[in-house]
Amino acid sequence: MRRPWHGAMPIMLTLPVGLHRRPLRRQRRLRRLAVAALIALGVALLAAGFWLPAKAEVAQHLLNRAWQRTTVGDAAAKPWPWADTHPVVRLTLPGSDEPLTVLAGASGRNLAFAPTLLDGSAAPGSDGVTVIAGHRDTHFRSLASLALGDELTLERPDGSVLTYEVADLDVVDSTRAELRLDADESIVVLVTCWPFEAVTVGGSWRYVVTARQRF
Amino acid sequence: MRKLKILKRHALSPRALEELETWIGVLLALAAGALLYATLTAQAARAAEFPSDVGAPTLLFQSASGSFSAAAPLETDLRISVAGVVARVRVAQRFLNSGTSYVEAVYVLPLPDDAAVDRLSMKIGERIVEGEIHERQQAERIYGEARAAGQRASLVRQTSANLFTTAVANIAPGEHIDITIEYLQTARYDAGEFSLRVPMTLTPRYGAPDTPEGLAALSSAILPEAPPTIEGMAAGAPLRGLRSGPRSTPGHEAYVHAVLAPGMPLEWLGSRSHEVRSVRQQGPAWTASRGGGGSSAASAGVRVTAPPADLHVVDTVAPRVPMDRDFVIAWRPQVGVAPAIAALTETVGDTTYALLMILPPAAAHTGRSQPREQIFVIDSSGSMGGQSMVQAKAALKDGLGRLGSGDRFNVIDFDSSAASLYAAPQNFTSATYAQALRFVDGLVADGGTNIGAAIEMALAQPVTSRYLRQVIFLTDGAVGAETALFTAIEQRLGDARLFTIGIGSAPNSYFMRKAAQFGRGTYTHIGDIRDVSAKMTALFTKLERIALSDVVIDWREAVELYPHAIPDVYAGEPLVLAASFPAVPDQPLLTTAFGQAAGLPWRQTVGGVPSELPGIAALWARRKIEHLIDSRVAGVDEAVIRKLVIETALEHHLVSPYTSLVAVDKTPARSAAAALERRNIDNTMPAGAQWQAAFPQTATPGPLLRWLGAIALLAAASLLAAARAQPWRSAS
Repeated sequence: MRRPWHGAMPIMLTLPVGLHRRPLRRQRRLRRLAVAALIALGVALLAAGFWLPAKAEVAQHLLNRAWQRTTVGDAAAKPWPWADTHPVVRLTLPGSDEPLTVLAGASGRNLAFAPTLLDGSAAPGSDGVTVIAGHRDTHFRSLASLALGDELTLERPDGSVLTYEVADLDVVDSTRAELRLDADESIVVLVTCWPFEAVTVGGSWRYVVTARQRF
Repeated sequence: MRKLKILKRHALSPRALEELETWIGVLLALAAGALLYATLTAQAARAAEFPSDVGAPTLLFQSASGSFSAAAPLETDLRISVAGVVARVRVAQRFLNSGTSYVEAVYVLPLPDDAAVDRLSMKIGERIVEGEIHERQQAERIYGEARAAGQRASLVRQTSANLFTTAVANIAPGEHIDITIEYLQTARYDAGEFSLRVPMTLTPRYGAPDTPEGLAALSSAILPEAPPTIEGMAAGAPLRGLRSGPRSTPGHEAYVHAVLAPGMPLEWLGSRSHEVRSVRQQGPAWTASRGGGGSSAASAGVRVTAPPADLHVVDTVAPRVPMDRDFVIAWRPQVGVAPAIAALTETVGDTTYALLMILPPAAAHTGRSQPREQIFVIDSSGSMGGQSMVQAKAALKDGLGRLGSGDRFNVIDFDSSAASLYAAPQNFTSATYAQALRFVDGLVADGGTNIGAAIEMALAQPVTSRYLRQVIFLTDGAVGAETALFTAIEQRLGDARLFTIGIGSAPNSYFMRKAAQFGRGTYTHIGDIRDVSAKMTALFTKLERIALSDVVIDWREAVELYPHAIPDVYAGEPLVLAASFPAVPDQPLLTTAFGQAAGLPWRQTVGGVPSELPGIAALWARRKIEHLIDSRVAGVDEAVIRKLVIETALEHHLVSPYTSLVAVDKTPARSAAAALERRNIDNTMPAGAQWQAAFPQTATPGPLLRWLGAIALLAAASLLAAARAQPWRSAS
């Protein structure tokens, strides 16, 4: 059955892959391998793709426990033993009754677990700009539906709850715009990537929500 | 029939197979490409998420460990000794580890841009370890090895002309390590007043954009060689650590103590930056100045020989001052007592080093000799926000108001880009003056600092013949890519003169001074809005009068002189030259300087006086190194510069871009099992500056991964479906 084929080739898509000279049995094995590899790849990619939001979700539950310890005075309560960050404040976005626990330090690792407070920005409630960054496709997905005048709240470890009113929604180019940290009042700035539906990462646009404290 | 069947099977299958295989190939290639793309974008995203790892050029808020609250503020003890114009400054800093694990502290130390750093010592308990000078890579290796071995070690490196980084490894929990750095600098003299500026904070710099080319340009401009090997101090390091602390962290505080032996009776002594009190003392009793730093007395002390001149002890009124502005001490000699020319010497081995200072004669004429064309360039970038912008506007209006009919002018405003008031300089009239004032009033501080565009525009203005072009540049100089700017200035200057005016409490005075040097002009610093008018008057008076030109010094010996080319001297400003020549035993230096003052020949003779404060050699070496590094702009080969700088720096025990000081305590502090945590220590923001931050990266590759996964599964499904559609498969 290994007779080379000499008939006229019908018009077909041909690419210089050079596989048509391979023996038939090997071709079948190859095909099966290719299908298996594609399935494995697809499953792995999907798993990784769903793991990221799942991690973000699960982490919030672990963080809630760390937050409980924060509220009883453990200022540097680590959510897990090897963590190098700690909860600083809890943020409630409109339309959600589940507050988000915010971690200290806007590093990529911290952002995977929670919205994060940018180092060096003002402490929540004190004069200055408190910058909280979050991922557009997990914790801060709901920023897309924020409107001017919406209310968001910050809960501090001492139990006090501060109310902020959305005063500005803006899309900026992060390579040009500056994130100013000076202010004479307490301002909360929420930062996430934009556009919200984008598939690729690393873009330079940011969605910036500015909210002023309301008394 | 059977034969036909076989034939059919065989005729069909290769065709079908070929098609299928082709598609498999295409799909596999697509999948591989997509996977590669996903990996790459994910990596790019990760890199953007950790700006510290790529050395982003703006002010950074790093979050290496999120442990800001644990980072104790740094305690700093500044001791300043001045003899004549030579100053030795001792900066003792206490690195305290209040945490529970071993830490490595990294601190960016701002120093004057002409500082000659020659001493490092590390004090642990009662033990003192002296720093040794080594070629930079070797010093880093020594430090890295000690760090890995758990030994306490410290390293001082120059990361740019006026930024030094101190790293201290293996500070035990609850322990503190005192790091003492000493440097020499010279006092400035301007309009009858000596002043010494001791930096305590630094301006966050706006550097080249964060493209690979921009970063490469930046790191090659400041770090002349391969990045240091120590982890976390990678390429682009000059801007690393330029973070301001979180607001809740108490700022660093400094104890400031100065002892002055000006060598001449003073009319006034004080500080331009802080409230100080001074006490006058007689004789050398002061050498036992207040201790406290352990090893301090020996090095900070000035050996005072005859005659017992007046000594002034200066302290800040507040026991400790926040390190949010530079400390400036100033003194004014009584009228007529300052010599027209002075030479301080020091002999080391068979070489004599001399610092020659010529004070120009009071200008004989006040009339203007040549009509002027002044191009004002004002920085309205974000870093100028606040007090700095107010000062700059005031200074600019002051300058405009000093123009007269017959003068020509233009105003250029720049932030991320440059814009000019007029396309070409205009005659100064009441109408153009009013337009200029409106233009200045409308300036708002925002955007980046693209000095390059402004310099290009200023120097490209159409030239009007017979007019003396003076470019007056007002900025806080928060720039990174300096070399490119200097090259631009040198190439485009023509007959113009560039005068730089530094605004704010911590301008990048290295850039300003160098830009003025390449621009054959001078640099003025305005730190306080109350000084604007006085300083601008002084500058504009100066611009009208060149006090001394065509200076030639008659040295008896073969001399190595820095700067090589002696510049013009303006009224009220001294000419400072550093020279070295073979020592002639028992024969004091005697030189004569010749020049042209107000069109007439001028001549002064001076005898050398041994300096009371050792360090003339180090100051000379510092100027030599600076000259060598500047020669890069003129196209001298990097390798040649490197070799000469290392030679000079090792001989004079100086920290340079190619040499570092390293101190290692041989006793191990940390066992191999205990982990070492790295901690950056924040610099306090300069007073009046605005706070800014970089945007974090805020998207996960989740959606992308899900899309790719779905595509791969779809491809597999279609492959299976295609195979099943062919019954022959199951038959075989």
